[in-house]
Amino acid sequence: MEKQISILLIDDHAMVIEGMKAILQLIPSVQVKATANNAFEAMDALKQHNIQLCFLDINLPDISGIDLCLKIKKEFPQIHIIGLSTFSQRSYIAQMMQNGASGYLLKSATKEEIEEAIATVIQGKLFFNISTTDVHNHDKNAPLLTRREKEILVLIADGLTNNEIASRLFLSSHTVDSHRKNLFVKFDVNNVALLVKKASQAGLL
Amino acid sequence: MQSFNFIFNCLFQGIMIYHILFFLIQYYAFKRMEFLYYTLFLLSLNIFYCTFILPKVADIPLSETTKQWFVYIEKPLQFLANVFYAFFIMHYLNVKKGNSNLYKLLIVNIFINSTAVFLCILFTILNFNYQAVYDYTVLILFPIVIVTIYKFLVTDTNYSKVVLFGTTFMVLGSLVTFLLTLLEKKMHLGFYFNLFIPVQIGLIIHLFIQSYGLTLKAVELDKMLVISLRQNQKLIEDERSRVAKDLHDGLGGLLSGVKLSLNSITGNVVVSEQHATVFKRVLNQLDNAISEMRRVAHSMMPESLLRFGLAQAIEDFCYDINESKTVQLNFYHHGLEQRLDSSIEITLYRVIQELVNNAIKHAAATEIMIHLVRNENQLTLTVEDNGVGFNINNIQKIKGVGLSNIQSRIDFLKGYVEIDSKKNVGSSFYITIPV
Repeated sequence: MEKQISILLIDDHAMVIEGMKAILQLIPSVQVKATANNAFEAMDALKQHNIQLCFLDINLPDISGIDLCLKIKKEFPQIHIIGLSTFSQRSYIAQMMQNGASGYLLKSATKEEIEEAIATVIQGKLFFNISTTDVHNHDKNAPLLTRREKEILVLIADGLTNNEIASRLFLSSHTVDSHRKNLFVKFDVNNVALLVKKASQAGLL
Repeated sequence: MQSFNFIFNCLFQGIMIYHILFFLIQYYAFKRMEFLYYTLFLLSLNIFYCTFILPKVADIPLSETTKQWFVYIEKPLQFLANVFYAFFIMHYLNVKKGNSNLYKLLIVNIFINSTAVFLCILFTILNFNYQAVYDYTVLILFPIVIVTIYKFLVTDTNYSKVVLFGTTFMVLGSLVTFLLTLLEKKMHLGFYFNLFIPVQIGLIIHLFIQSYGLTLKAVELDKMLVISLRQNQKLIEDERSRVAKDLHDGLGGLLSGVKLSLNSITGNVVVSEQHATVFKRVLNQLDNAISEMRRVAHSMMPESLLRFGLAQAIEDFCYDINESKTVQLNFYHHGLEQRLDSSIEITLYRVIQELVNNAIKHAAATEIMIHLVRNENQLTLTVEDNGVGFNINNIQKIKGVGLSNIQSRIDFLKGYVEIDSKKNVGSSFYITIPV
């Protein structure tokens, strides 16, 4: 018989641990070696058993799963970690992966998903059952500008001063100045000449 | 010396009328009872001076009946003024039943003065000459002087100190006049000035100090209001995050556990086709329950906001909305590596939530841009949509749609909101706050 993958379950909810156990029992290639309700128990279990894979809840009572993930990876780099969460939240997933997790699963996952996750992760690959496309995929060369910024950009290119722009757009010169600063930030420049150059390169003028 | 008295009284009238109008306007502006009582106090006092002193210092031809009426009303008015002043002090210093001796004293004062008003009217009707008694009624003021000075020494707020200080001048003036009147009666010194001038000078000093004190109080109250509203806001947000955390961690974990346990049953037991369908449906409903709870917990307080800050939370928010495919959100941020004060983060998150919801619901926007840039000590937020837009001139009508809510949230952060909108082009909200 093939050697089973030894698993540690870390979650502070008894229901989740029971549920995961029940599902994992149906998968012949794995064996739940230990369970832990908090970070302290988890570290203990990792020292006692020879664990290959961890299911780690991101919300733990003592330290968060995200911090624990980093700690486990530091002390036991060979262990694969799959993050567990009730809900998908991009920021959490990103942090978890940054701290060394190999995969991420929703607690409402089906048996097939869990099986697939284990199989993928154990091969050293990453697994997600959540799509994680980037939200702001704006082009660095042509930053997105607000309508007001576009107006002001055009007027700056025409050589108008803050005060002239302010009186033309019925704004305070202070407001114009903050838009101008934002334009500098967005184009990553520090003077008007460069701003105009970059803006016309990006086709905004 | 007739002309000196006359000029002085003209000056006095000018100051009085100015202050009566000033405090009346204050009352209409702030709707605080103390201003109303103070105005009534000044008004009755001024009518008293007009009827009592003006005929003596100015050569105004008056008919005998008018003079008689003046005599009738001048006395009760003085007592009435005292009543109003007592009410004023009560409202102004927030004197409440049972919280001090000042309250008892003010009540006694109101009672005595009201009785005096009543008696004056009664004596006039009965045609009873009470001038001799009346001359000494100024002594009623003595206990007030003592308590006022005492209060002045123990009180801790600046504005009450100022007002009590002002009151002493008024009372002092009355006492000087009283003593001078006594002297005049006993020794017939023949003062060249009207004996009421000390009271009037006292009153003028009092008025100037009082205006300052009332302004101080208004400023202080305003500050306190802002602080207490802030605290309320914080309490609400704290409570929200607690409930959200409970929902998320408690109920969320439980439901997930149930789902996992049910999942382990699939394929393990032999059931009829009909039962299998029901089972599948139950699993589906459970999924819906979990995501519904997620939605509620998340809209209450996104955990990522507290943990990772504004930029991450907004990214999550945009991601979730973009998932729905009905609208495209673009989020640009710069200079937010350093966490902001949590009250600013939560407020801005709510404002963005509200603006985006408005743009989707009311403006039918398909593209929304969120720009959040921190530049040294200034944070600018721009939310721009391509929706139907609205007429800026009708902003008051639209304000119902949570806009006033946004305005007040930004006011708390001492920031300002600028709105720009064009029909069929879209709306832009430019918000700047100091950080």
